[in-house]
Amino acid sequence: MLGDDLWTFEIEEGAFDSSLLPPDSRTPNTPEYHQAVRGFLERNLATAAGWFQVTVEDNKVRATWKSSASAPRPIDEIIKMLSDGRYAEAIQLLRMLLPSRPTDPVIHFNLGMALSDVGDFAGAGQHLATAVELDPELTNARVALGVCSAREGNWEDAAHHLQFAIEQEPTNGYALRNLGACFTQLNRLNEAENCFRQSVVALPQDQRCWLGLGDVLDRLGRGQEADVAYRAAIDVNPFNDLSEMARAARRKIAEQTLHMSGHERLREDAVAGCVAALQRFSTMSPEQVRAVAFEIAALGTKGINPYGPEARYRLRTLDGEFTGMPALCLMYVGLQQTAPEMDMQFDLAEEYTRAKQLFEQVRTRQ
Amino acid sequence: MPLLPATHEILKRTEELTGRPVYVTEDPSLSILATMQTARGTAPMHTIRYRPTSNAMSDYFICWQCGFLIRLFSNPPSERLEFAGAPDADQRVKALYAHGGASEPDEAIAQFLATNILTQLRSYPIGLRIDDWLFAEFPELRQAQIHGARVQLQDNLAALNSPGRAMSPELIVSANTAMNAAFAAYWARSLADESLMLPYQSIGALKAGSRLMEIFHYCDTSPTADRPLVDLWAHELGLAGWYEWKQYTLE
Repeated sequence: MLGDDLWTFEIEEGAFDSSLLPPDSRTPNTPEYHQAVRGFLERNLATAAGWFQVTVEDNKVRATWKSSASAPRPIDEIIKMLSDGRYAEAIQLLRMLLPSRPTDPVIHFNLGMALSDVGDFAGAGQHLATAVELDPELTNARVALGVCSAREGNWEDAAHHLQFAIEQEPTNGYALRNLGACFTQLNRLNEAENCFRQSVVALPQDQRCWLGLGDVLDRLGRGQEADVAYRAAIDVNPFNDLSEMARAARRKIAEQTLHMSGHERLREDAVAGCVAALQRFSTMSPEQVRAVAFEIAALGTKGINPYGPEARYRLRTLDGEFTGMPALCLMYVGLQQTAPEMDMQFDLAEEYTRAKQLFEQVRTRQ
Repeated sequence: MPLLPATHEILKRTEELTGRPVYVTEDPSLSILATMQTARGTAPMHTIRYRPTSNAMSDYFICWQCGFLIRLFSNPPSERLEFAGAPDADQRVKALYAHGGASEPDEAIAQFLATNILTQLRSYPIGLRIDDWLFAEFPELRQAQIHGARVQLQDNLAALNSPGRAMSPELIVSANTAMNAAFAAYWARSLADESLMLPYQSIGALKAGSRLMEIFHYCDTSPTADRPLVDLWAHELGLAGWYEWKQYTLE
């Protein structure tokens, strides 16, 4: 509404609030200080003004700018900054907006979220509580309040906030996911499973939902179901840290399962897989066998599910398509034959021994 | 000077409510934008003097001054209270100088500083209530109101670099800056121009301004709450005890 109003303010260098600057640029009358002050003012004016000019010289800080109806909406810019991980800048801007909008729940919500992300839980809790007070229907602020409590380790408080959020919005996937995590921490595993199962329906593309479900199922001793959840997490995005966590969890389950089978009973599918591998390798050179084993080992870092008949793997070094267990057996047998010193992190020794016996029997008959 | 119809309406309302006429006159010698003398005793009418600027802006200042009378007289007679500096306000200023290790200022300077900061303490919070009212109910005045706010905002920015700032006691400077920050915050919101807050953020006055605006938003908006609103601002600014509330009567 002010259109092209021109504004100017000038202060002594020493009057500038140096806490707004990076810690290594707070000494007045240094080039770093001048640059940091200029940068701070320019960044802020870029989000709120039209034309602007900033100078820091002769012991004076001077900013001149024009108001502009076409300047970007600060809150949009701030949300973009937050999604880019530029927390410090976003927090400064939100604090600038706060005096003029003390009753705007969106400002308190975003400031609370940002403070929570940088570890200022007390400040975050205050702003998130204010956001909820100002707009009781702002469910995401309740969720954020729950997350903030959880980050402080106050699981009961966190669960309380999140349950309230779910009462308001039963399909809020983030509330469900975080409540699932709280219940897991509180060892209320059946309730956790229930939350995570609802969360993956609400947010099927959220890896954390699937990981949480996998973790709680694993703790409930339902490894095969957990494995399915972990695979779903990997399918969402195979190339990030979360999928690596899912792979590690799957390897652990596979190891435990195979280890258990060694003590309790032989896995017939593993025995059959090893026999098939022995047959294939019997007509191949050691180098070819080693190449197959190593290719599968490399594939293994992206996750091979020994129990998923639907997952199929193609190899460059061997014709055909393989499901999880046969592929794993090819690797195991191949490495036993060409690189037995390698640690495979799972044990098919008894299945392999049994397979060799069967293979010899067949060969003797022939 | 021809006045806008909205100004006539507000003047009429003021006269009806207070039972006294309102005399409006230009005064080019005024250092501030407008001032008002309330009718009482031998002063049979309310007198508003304003520094001539553009016509429309004068209308705004006349209406804004009437707003104080309207709010005062909207209270029942027993709750009509007038704000006045405490008898020892000047001494308090002198004590601030002494506390800061500076030599005592002469009487005129102490009185000037006390009067200014207390005028601001009374006129900013109640004035913003009046701005709310004018903004909502008199669109005809809006351009003038915005223009007037702009002049005040520019004056406040200029004060950030004034020599008087360095010579005044810290309490007076911080109180003045906090109220200016709150004023900027009010207009930043009304005008959707957040750049107005940047100067106050740069000098670390955002938190103090923010507290005053929280009080402003959480206080009741009725005229009977003007006193607690001013008292809460005063408490926040360290100015409690610097003024008194006196019963207002026309006699």
